Amino acid sequence: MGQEQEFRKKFNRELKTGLLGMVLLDVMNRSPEPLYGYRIIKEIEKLSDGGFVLPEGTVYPILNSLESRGLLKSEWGKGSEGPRRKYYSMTRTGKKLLSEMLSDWRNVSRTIEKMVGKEEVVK
Amino acid sequence: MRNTPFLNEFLKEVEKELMGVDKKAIMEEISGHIRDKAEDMASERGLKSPDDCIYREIIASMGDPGEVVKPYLKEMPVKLPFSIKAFLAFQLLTGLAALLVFIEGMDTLFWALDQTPNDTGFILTQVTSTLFFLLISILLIGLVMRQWRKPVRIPLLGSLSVLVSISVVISIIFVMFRVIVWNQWGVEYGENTYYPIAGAVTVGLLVLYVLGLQQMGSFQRRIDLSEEDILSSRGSRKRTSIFIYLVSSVFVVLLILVAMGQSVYSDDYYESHELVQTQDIGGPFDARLELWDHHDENGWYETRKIVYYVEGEEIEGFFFPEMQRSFEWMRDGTENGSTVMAWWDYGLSIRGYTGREVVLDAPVRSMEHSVGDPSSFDEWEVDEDKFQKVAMAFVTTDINYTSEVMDLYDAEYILTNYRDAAGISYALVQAAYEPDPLSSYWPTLDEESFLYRIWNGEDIEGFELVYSDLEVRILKKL
Repeated sequence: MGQEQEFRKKFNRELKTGLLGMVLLDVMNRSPEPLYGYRIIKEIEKLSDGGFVLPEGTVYPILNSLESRGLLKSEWGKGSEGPRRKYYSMTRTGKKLLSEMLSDWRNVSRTIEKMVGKEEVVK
Repeated sequence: MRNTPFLNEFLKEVEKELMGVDKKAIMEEISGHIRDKAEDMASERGLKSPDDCIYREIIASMGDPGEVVKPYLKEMPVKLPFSIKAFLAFQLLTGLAALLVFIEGMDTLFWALDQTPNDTGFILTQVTSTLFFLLISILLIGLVMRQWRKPVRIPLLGSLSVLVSISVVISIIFVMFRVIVWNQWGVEYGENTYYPIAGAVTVGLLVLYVLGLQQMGSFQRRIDLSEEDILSSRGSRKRTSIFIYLVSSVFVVLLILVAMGQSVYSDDYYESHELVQTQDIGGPFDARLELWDHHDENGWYETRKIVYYVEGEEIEGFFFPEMQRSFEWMRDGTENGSTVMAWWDYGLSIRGYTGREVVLDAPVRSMEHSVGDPSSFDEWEVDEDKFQKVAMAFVTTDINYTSEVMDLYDAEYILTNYRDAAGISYALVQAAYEPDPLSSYWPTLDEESFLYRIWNGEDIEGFELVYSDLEVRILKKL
């Protein structure tokens, strides 16, 4: 892989990593019931039409991290068979922060879109 | 649904890689995820339950167990394992030790500025070494605090803090050697007794550092490897360990060789002692003076001895040449059979040279730290009470007490060398009040004391100054 492709890969990874927390909170916010890890991954895939395929094992640590910051809460519940499942749901703080993050994201994406869409030449 | 052996093996590997975090919860999440996905895939393929093939597919997509746990260890608060905590505590102690050396160095610096302000070489050396220890202490304590608060920093700063710690330990050991060899703090240890101890301490500390470094490496593997590192980590880990062992072994061997060399060096020099002159004194004990030439670690110097015989037994003691005139006066100017009270240092010389009896001619064990060469003593004064009383008779401010002690031991004369009131006055005060070799207290003579008054030229009631020269005074009790 050439250096430019490596740079692109890094850019994509950082972009997704930076946005993942917001995407996770958004998915949780849309769900009327608590969700467990694998369901969250599947929901993200579905909502993004397969555009946001998360690497295995990436979601759980971030869920833990969001929980430790008080944005999500969790409880252990029994799965249909076998091991217990950890079900996550939004907290009030999480909802408030999500609306702020979405507003920040919209501002940034609007600005970037406006900027890169212009045809002016930089002098 | 039961786990397949292949899945169990994979989960075991994952668990091994998890370090310092809540393993149980994470393992449940990871295995839950695999099984949810496996069930999903099985139903997509029209299977009743997931087969081994599905598990292999999922696990292959997850990658190396190290890679699976890496995001957890990056995101979750990492609890430090005991070994790392112990190592950080050890480093903190090293930093505090450096701080102590800095404080001691400042003390010496102020002393040098006060006492030898023109010795710019010494002052410059002292300033440099003091600043070195201050800098290293701040650096080490700062590093440990930073690592303690944010464990992810341990691998990043670990190697630096290990290097700093090793340099502190070696510097402190070097200072220890200097103190032992040059006797800088006025405390004489037995010859070479401390070399093996210092060597063992050095080797022990280095082993601890190597172990600490290994722990850090192990910690680093789990929390701070890049993806490329994970893929190629196994071989390089082994190479790194072998390198660390090799370097440490060479280092330890070199240190042992240096320590052995030091020992051989010292032994060679102790061989060079030569009797170059003798002078017969005669008298009741057939005394003679000897001049010895020495060449050892202290340089090239000479010493004087007095040798005489009491009931056929050879007695020898250190002779102070500056006292020879006063001894001659005593031999010729005092009555036969009279007794002299003097500090023990001069006891053997007084008896041998003048034929007069003395109250003390040896130190006591509790004052060993004040003796120049304790290993040369075969016989010690056993009467601690007498020793303490004589010391007190010199340093007391109560002249009656001095008279009482002289009466107690039938002494008519009291002899003092100027060094009793100056260089070794601490020994007399300690022997009188506090025979504690570990005390940092450096007592000084009271200006109202008997000894101080003699050297201040004062008339002392009940005593007559019968002899006086530049360095010795003899008083007779009236």
